[in-house]
Amino acid sequence: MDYAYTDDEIRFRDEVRAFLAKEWGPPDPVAGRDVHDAERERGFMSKVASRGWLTMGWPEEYGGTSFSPMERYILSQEMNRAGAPFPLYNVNVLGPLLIKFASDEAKSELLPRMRAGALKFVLGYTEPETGSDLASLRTRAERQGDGYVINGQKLYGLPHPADGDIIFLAARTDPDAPIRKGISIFLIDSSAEGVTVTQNRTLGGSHVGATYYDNVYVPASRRLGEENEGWRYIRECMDLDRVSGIPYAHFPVLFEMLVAFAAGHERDGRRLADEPWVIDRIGRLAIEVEAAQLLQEMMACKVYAGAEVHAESSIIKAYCTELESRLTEFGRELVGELAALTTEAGVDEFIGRLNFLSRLNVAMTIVGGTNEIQRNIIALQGLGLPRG
Amino acid sequence: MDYELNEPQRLLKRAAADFFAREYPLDRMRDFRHDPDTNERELWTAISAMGWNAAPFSEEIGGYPGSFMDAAVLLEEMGRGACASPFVHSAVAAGLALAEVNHPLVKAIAAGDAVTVMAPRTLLSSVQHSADGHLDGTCLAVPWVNLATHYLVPLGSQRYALVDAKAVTPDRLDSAGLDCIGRFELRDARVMDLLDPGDTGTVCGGAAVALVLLDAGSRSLDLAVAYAKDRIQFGKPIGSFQALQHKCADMLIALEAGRNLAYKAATLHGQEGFARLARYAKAYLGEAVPRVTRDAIQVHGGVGFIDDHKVQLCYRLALGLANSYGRPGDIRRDVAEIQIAAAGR
Ligand SMILES: Cc1cc2nc3c(=O)[nH]c(=O)nc-3n(C[C@H](O)[C@H](O)[C@H](O)COP(=O)(O)OP(=O)(O)OC[C@H]3O[C@@H](n4cnc5c(N)ncnc54)[C@H](O)[C@@H]3O)c2cc1C
Repeated sequence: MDYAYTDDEIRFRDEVRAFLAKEWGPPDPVAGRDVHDAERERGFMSKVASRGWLTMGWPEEYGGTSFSPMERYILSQEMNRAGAPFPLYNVNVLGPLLIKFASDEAKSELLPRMRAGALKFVLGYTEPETGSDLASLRTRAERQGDGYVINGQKLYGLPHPADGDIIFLAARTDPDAPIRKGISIFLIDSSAEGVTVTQNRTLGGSHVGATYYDNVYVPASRRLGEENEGWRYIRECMDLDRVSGIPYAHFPVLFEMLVAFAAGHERDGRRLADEPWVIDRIGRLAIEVEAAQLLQEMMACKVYAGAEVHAESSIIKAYCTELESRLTEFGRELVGELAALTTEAGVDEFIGRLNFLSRLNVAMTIVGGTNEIQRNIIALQGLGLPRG
Repeated sequence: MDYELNEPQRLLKRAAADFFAREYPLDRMRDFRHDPDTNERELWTAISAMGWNAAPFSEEIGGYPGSFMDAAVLLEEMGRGACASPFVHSAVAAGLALAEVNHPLVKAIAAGDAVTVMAPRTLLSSVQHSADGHLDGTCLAVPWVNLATHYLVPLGSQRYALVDAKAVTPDRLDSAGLDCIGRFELRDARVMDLLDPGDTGTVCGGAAVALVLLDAGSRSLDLAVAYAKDRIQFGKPIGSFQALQHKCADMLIALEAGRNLAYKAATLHGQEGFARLARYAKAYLGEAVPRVTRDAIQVHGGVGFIDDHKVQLCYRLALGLANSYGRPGDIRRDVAEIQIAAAGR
């Protein structure tokens, strides 16, 4: 057993860090999570693309580049740490999936844009009546001539039709089959006729969308793989996502900021960092931040070694999103009465960021499978407990 | 012992509950953000017209014939209604601090004619008291700068300078909480009075915040439970999943433990032991209720994160108040110091 990175891995990490320092900015727990600057992101993305980082692990004939799984892990961690807009889900999940299952037309249309970092996908899974119970989705796709006609509604994903965003839409093609056997996946232009996009502000300040489908025509070439096999592809996405791992690399940066704030502010001549309760919490959080880092590293290492992973990603998701909540809770208590101030208040940058992360974190225990669903997975698949 | 409210308290509680249910339901509170200043002023005028601002004070100084429990039932209903207003800050915190030193401004506060708020001693504010008695510096996160007529500006931890609101030009600051907060600069500002109320304002403010938080939490739990009965996933109400049942049960456990701390503090106002219980209640609920209201959002899943969902009002109210009138960590430290000193005696 060895927790150390190899020399090559360290070299690669330093290369990515140097790249990010030059092309994006210093480590930041918020950048890229709050405001979206499309222009800046485009410029950055083309530089990322030219390094071959957007096709890591893809087959060679599709422009794939050979990086080890450990390097892929390091890249995603470093991008996340810097708050850089890296399309991890495209690289690790959708790219490989499209290569395996999409029609030739769809592949030749979409893959070049993905390679260039110029294509955004929005997941069209959740509906007003189906969230955790995804398989019960109701949006309909009916055969018509050479294609399908879609009717229904999706929630949360926010495509930008003007940017040519594609909706990765799960719809019911056979309403009479058992629920998991009647779903198909479509790759829909968000600018297609009959698609309406609305948006809602969130607690985090940014927006989520709702998309409405009113007799939207999709050619069969935009169906992914086989008809009625959609559930299989959704599962495959989840598996790929699980093993590639969502990075939570901003904790050490946030933690350092919290400690610096505690060390740099005083009340009645007493440093915050000398308060016993502050000392205790810093100690506790230092340990938890390290544990979060190691959980992620060990899982990457297992995937690299080809070991099977089951509950690991659920453990990481639950632990890390809840650790973020403890970090921000501590931060709010540190800054006291100033905790409600947002970035827009213009008083203090650190406090604004902390406030933003506090609110955003509320979504983190809900998206990507709620933490209750993650615990169900841990109990059933990880521990083998009987179903209730 | 008696766990029941008396008749006048019950009537007052009912009246407050009816007011919020009829005039200011959560939907209306949610729409405040479209024009906060106008809406907040209207609500405050309505609250003042009902005479609630007199509730914290004793009868001799223009208050109610009852006890602090009158104010407590109002504070609770404000929490339930996700109602942010200067009541906590002016009628209770600053008002009782002023009453402590028999200041004449109390009458105007009780009558709803004056709104006085204490500027918190934040880590980034600083106020200098010059030799000629004027003030210079910055006050931050000051509640209700849009409605205040007077400020209590802290000079150290126990003394305050009373300043006319006309002497400063405040800015409202963007906040994730529901209470309006702002900033102002003091430039050679005239001091109307120097006051020495000790920590009365902070302790009373803490007791008030505890009561508001308690019922903001319990309202969020009601919303979560109602939603959990209604929302179907996997062919069943989500409230039938034990994971959610336990989450909701834990929320109730946390609130019930805090309820008695907050109630006992309220019953002890003006008596020995008030400050101790008020601090306990504030520290406990200041930590518990942001978690409870957040869990209430969790029960709602994604819709709870969308801005116009009612459950968010409870969370935002808690987020704004949890660290006012004492950070839970600081209060626990003070509590521990007293306990340890007592053990050593
Ligand atoms: C900011 C944000 C962005 C999102 N982006 C997208 C997107 O781009 N595309 C997309 O398709 N979706 C997106 N989602 C939706 C997200 O995936 C869902 O919110 C999530 O899957 C939960 O579904 P739900 O909101 O319907 O909650 P529900 O499934 O209704 O859950 C409500 C509550 O019940 C609990 N619960 C449900 N089932 C069980 C069970 N079996 N056992 C125990 N507890 C249970 C949940 O944990 C939760 O607490 C987004 C959500 C948010 C908040």
